[in-house]
Amino acid sequence: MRKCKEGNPKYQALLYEQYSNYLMGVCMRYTRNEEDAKDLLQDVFVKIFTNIDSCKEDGNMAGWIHAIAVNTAINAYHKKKRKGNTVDMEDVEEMVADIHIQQNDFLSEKILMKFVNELPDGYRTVFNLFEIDGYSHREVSEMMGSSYSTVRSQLFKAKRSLQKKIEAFLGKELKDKGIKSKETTQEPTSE
Amino acid sequence: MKQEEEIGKLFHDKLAGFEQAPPEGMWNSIQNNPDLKKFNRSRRFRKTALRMALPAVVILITAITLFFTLSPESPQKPGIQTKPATTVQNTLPVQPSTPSVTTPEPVSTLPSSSPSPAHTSSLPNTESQNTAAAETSDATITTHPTPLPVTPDETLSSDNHTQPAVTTKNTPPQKQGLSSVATETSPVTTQHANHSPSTTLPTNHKTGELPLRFSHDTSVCRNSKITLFVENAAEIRWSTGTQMPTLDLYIEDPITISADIHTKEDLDTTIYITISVFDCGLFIPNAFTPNGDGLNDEWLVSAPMGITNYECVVFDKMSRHLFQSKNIHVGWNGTSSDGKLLPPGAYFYVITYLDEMGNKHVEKGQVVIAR
Repeated sequence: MRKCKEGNPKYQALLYEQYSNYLMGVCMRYTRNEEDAKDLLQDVFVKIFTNIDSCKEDGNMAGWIHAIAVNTAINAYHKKKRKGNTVDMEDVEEMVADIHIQQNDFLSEKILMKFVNELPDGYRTVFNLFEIDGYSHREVSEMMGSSYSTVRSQLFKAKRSLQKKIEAFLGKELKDKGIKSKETTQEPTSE
Repeated sequence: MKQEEEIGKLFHDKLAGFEQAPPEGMWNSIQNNPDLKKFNRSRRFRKTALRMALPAVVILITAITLFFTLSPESPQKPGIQTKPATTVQNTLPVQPSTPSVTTPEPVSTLPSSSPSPAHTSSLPNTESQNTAAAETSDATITTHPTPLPVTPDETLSSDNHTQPAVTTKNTPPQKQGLSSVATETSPVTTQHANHSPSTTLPTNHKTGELPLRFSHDTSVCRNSKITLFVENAAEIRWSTGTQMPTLDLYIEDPITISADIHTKEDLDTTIYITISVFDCGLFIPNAFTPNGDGLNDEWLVSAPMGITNYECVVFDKMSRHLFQSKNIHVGWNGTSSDGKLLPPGAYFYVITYLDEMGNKHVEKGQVVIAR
């Protein structure tokens, strides 16, 4: 099953079964909602199947598939940008407050994914590429076609935005649970 | 706690392995995708076409002799026999890595119609394939990625003898489709075009010493004084508002400083320097003023993180024991062991302790009494 089947449609179904959940997860990260993720996923699979020749048989197929997914996501972003459909905030926020995330257990995957989805398109793409998919700053700037400093700035803003969302969420959580939110300091976790 | 890194790490840890079942009917939509349908059709064609190849060989060999007389490219004819054999091996993308296919001519014409779309449909290969395909004079070979010439086998045998792979059908390069994208995660490197990596990692955390100088992201021990600077900056405006070439900071908490820069080469950019904070072992003041003014009257060592087996000894230049304590909360008031007030000057301490991991640490240094 590991072989890149050159265009044989029967094996496409197998490949789909094996990678669909994983790739759906990736697509969810790079889009605003499930609807867009669905569209992206379809593009990704079509790309995979029609470009199957370029997958080396002795190579890392999962890595190749991942790269296709990421590339397709970036292309989708650029396409959207050209059409003027992106949501990109440019407002400058004040310096972030230094509140630390300590209650990691409150934050489920679903919540975090929601926060990522809510990011402006450019920030979300850059954040995913760098933080989750592990590309370097330089690689990200090449893939996005933006300057290194733009990428860094977008990353910074993305993280800040995410942090604010987390703080807001946690603040609400704590209130709901009737816990007074304590002034979080630099307490080390182990005493 | 490195705040910015924390966020990245948090999201990475929780979302990197995130999987979700696609909605129902996803596979159906994929299968019905027009591009995919065309692709599959072309591959199926190629497969069945190959099977037809062998019987067709015989027919074509005889047909060639006919063409020999008819075609103006007669001098090339002898070449046709040999060339296609080699090019066929390369143009047959069915098994990209097996060049040992020796199917004769007719097969070579078949893939000429299908692989170019198939190959051109892979993104980075598009350009090379298009130029290769463009060379062919065969009308049935298209350069477009999408339309598949649906040429049945019969017509191939009649039309394409003169233009089999002779017309330099370039070998489809067997490139990895996405060579420009790293498929492996590479280590994160923070690169600042303007900065020189000329920092010294903090070796101590005492205040009052020469501030450490940094020009890029770094981590320091809490309560260090650092200096930020940017090389190559003709003009700089730090996010704190100052426009001095260097920025002094006293680091208590993680902080990110930005600066708008106008470089010597007339470029404008904004840089970001993130300082993360380590809770270093001990905070040992290196000076105090036991003058009864209520401010720093006592020399007190503190340990932000849990330590054990604390021992502290203070002595003077003559190695006389002045003070000793096994309790970190007990400070030194600047008197000798028999209670005499000591003159201002430099004294020495040796502190040993075990950190949370049980590693032994020894700290030696000066403590200055100022009055």
